[in-house]
Amino acid sequence: MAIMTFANAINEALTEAMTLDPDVICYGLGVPDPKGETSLVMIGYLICLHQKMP
Amino acid sequence: MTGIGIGASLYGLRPVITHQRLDFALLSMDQLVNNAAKWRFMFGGQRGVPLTVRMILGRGWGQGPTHSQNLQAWFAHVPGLKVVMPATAEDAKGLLLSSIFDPDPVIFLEHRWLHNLRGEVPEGDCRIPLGKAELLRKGEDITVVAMSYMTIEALHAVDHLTEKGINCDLLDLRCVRPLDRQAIEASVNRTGRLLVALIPATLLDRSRVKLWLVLQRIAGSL
Repeated sequence: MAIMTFANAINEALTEAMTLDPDVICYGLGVPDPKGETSLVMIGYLICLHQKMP
Repeated sequence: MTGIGIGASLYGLRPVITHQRLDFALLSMDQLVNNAAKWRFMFGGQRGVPLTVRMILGRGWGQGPTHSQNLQAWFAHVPGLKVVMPATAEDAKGLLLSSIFDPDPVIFLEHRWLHNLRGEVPEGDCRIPLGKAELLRKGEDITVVAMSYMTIEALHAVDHLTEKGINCDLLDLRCVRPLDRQAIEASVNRTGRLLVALIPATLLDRSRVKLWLVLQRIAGSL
């Protein structure tokens, strides 16, 4: 168990899914944004996803 | 984006599309309803469309009528679509994993006010089955049904009522479709009273529950 935000849990799920199955792909508004997404309240939930799973 | 996702799904991929606002996804309703949702049924169940569409809903500062809609009931009325609305960090991870590996299209709705909510999250593959509500509080006086951000509000309300001597069942639906009717009916048949926060109106028409009081439905724009 780890303590994290809802947003980071989303990030974890996406990373986990792409690790489990190379057929999982993510795209859409904000996905390649190195800061996460542009909205202030959402910063953090896609951080580094594109770097972890290029 | 949605059309690309449907095509990629049919070629064996599992796309996850992100819409920063639910409102921006409405242009894709034709592809969601007429292609993604119906594909399995139009072609004899040969294959579905394993597409996950994340949509973020709820309002923030300075947002207008086209940036703050909660349309889960609309999606839930489309046969072939599953609609998921997590309320906690653990559910966000577990339900998103289940959505991604579901054989059919899933609309995954995240309320933006939940994004900074902290909680314990298991490591690794911690899938949570779709369509199973969670009983967060157990009581005998009234059933409170909520989902997404309203679950957090309901938790505060239920804990406050407990201090006043009113004990509530609190059900977090987690999924609007499939709806865990069994859990709702079991609870309401025990308490005889139902308070609903953000739930499709189908429950009012089709539930098979014994109620002591008239149903109360609470809905609001968050």
